[in-house]
Amino acid sequence: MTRTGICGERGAALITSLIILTLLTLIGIAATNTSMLERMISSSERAHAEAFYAAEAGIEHLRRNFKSMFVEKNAARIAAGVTPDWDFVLNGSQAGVDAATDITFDNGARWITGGDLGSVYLYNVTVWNNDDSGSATDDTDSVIIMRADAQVPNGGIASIEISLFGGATGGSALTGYGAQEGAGAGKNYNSNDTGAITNFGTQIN
Amino acid sequence: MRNRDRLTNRAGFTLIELLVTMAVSVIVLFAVLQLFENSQKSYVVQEEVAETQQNVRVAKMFLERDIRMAGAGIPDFSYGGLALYPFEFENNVDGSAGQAATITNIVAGTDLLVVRYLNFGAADCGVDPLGASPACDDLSQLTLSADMPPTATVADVLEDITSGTGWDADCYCNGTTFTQPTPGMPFIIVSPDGSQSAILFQTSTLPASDRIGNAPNFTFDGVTYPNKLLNTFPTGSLINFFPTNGIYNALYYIENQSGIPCLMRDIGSGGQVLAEYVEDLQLSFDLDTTGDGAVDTTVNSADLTDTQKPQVRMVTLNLLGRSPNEHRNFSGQRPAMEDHSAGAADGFRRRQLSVTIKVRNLGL
Repeated sequence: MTRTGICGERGAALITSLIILTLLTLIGIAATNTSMLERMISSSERAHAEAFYAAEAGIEHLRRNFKSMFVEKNAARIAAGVTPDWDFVLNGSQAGVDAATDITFDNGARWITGGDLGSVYLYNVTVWNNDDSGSATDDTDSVIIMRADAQVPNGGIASIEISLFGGATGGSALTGYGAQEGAGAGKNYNSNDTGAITNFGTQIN
Repeated sequence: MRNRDRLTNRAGFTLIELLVTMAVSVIVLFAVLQLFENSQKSYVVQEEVAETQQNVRVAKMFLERDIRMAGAGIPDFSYGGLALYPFEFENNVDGSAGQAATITNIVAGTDLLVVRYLNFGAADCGVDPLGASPACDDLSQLTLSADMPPTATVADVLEDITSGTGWDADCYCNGTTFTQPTPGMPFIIVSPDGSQSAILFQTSTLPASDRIGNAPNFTFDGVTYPNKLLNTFPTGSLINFFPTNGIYNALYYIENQSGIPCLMRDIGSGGQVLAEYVEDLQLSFDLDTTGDGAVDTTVNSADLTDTQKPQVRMVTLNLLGRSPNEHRNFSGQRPAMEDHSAGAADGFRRRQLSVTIKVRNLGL
C-alpha cells in the first residue's frame, strides 16, 4: 500500500515539473530569440556606422595630404599664372603610387592601401580623373574623383566617393613686379594696410 | 478473500487523501499559472517594444541616409529657372498650407521634410516598350555657339541638327515619350569652366536650323517653369539631355493610414509606408548664416525660408515610435518633442530616437 502510493506521487511530480520546465524553456527561448535578433541588427548597424566613419577618415586623410602637396607640386604653375592641376596625383610620379590607367575606380591610382585606425579599421583610398577628355593622367579641369573603401571587423564595409577640386583663385601671375626706388607714402608695404591700428587709446594698459 | 481485501484497500483513496492532493495541486497549478501569465504578459509587451524599436530604427535609417546626402551635386542649382533647394521644411503641419495640404491624412503637429540631391544612378533611360523611340540618353552633346540675348527663346548650337534624328526626333525616357516638334525634354547646360549649370526644357525644335527652342513659361509634370536662364550662359556651354528622374526628390511625412500613424516617403510615385506606428517626426536645423564655417542659428519651430535652405549644416532628427496596442496597467503619453507639445495620457509604450546628422554636401 505504502509503496504503490509513493510511486504514484512521484510520477505526478515528475510530469508536473516537466510541463512547467517545458513551458519556461519555451518562453525563455522565445525571449532570447527576440533579443538575439535585436542584438544582430544593432551589431550590424554598429559595424556599418564604424565602416562609414572609417571611410570618411580615409577621405580626410588623403585630402589633408593633398592639401600641402597640391601647392608644392604646382608651385611652378601657380608662379607662372597657369591653372594648377592634379597631374602629379594621377601620373605615377610619386614614389609608391602607380599611375592611373583609366578614368574608372578600378583603374585609378591607389594612394592609400591598408590605412588603419587602431589596426582593425582598414581603409583604401583611390583617386582617378573625371571625364575631361578621356585621358587618365592628364587633368585639365582641376577636378578629380576620390573614393575611400573601408572595412571593419564583423563584416562592415562602406565606400565614400567625392569629387575634389583644387585651384588657385583670386590671384594673377607675379610677372611684372618691380621695386620702387625711394621712400614716401605709398611706397612701403605697410601703407597698403588700410585697416591699420592708429588709435591706441582704447587699449588696456 | 484476504487477497481481495488487500486489493480493494490498495486501489482506493480516502476522502481526506483526495482533498489534500487536490488542494496541493490547486496551489501548485495556481502558482504555475501566475508565473505563466506574468511571463506571457511581459513577452507580449517585449515583442511590441521590440517591434517599436525596429520601426523607429528603419525610419531613422532612411531619413539619416537621405539627409546626409542632401544637396549633393546640386549646389546653387536651378530647375527650369526655379531655384532647387536641398531641403524643404514645413514645421508642425496643420494640413492647411504648403505641401502638407495636398496630403489627406497627414498627422497634425508633425514636421514635413523634402530632401533633394542629384540622382547619381539615373543615367539610363530604359527601352521604349513600344520600340518606337530611341532612348533620350543617347542624344549627343551640343555646344552653345554664341551668347544668347536676354530675349532669346532659342539656343544656337555648333552641331548640325538634322531633321528626324537626335535632337530633332522623338525619344523615350523612363515612361515619358518626348514627341517632336514640341518635345519638352529637360536638358542640362553647363558653362565651359563648369562653374554654372542649370536644367532647362527644350520646348521646340526649329526646322532646318541648328538651334533648339527654349520658350519661357513651360509646363512640365504639372508645374510651370520660367525656363529663362539661357542668356546667362557663355559661348561654348555644353548641353546634354537630363534624365527625367535626374533629381532625387524625397518627401517625408507622418500620415494616418486607417488609424495607424506611419512614416511615409514619396519619391515621385505616391507615398509609400516606410515604417508603421511612427507617431512623430521632429526636425531641427543648425544653420551657418554668416558663412564663417560655424553653426550660429537653430531653426526648429518655423519653416525654413529660401535663404535658410542652403545654409543648413546640421540636422537633428527626432523620431517617436509607439507600440501597436495599448497596454493594461500602463500609463504613458506622447512626450513633448521640440515645439510639439505632449499628448494626452494613454496606454502605449514608446521609443524615442534622436540623431544629429552633419550634412556633408552643403557648405563645401
